[in-house]
Amino acid sequence: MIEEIWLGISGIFMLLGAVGLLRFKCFYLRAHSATMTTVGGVCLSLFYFAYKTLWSIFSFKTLLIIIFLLLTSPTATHAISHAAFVNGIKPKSLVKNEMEGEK
Amino acid sequence: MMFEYIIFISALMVLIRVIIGPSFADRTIASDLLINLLILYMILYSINTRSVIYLDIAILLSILSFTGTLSIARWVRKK
Repeated sequence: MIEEIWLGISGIFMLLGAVGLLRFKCFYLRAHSATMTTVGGVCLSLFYFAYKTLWSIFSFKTLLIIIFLLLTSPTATHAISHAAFVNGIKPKSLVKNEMEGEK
Repeated sequence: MMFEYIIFISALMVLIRVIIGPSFADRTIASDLLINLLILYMILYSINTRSVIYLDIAILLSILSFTGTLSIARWVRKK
């Protein structure tokens, strides 16, 4: 019962993230939807699997994967967004460009 | 079994964005997401076959996707 609810919520997060990746019209909105919601869904599901098999080698490696995912996916998204901004992909509602003349 | 179907449908939608995406950044973000879904599927597979080696592959895949995304961001040049 608890298993189905938990995994169902995680699956809903992943589906919503993938649908948002398809339907948004601005690149920065797509990046938000792609990394935040899907990584959240994946980590919820991994927390459940680590809880089921707690105190074993499986749960230690799963917790390691969770920590690594939560640490590195915002960094990667920030790097790609900076590269896209410098290369000319501007958001739809840009008011003031504070990064004039950056390489 | 429902959970694998949900992962599969999400992966199909992300694959459409990899093909369509009108710039390099769309494709990079979508491929990073595909590897995240693959990590989740590998953990499910390791539970199914009761074998621990697939977790090491999942850790390595996350490291690879991270360094790949960072190298694309570092070396893209202005047109």
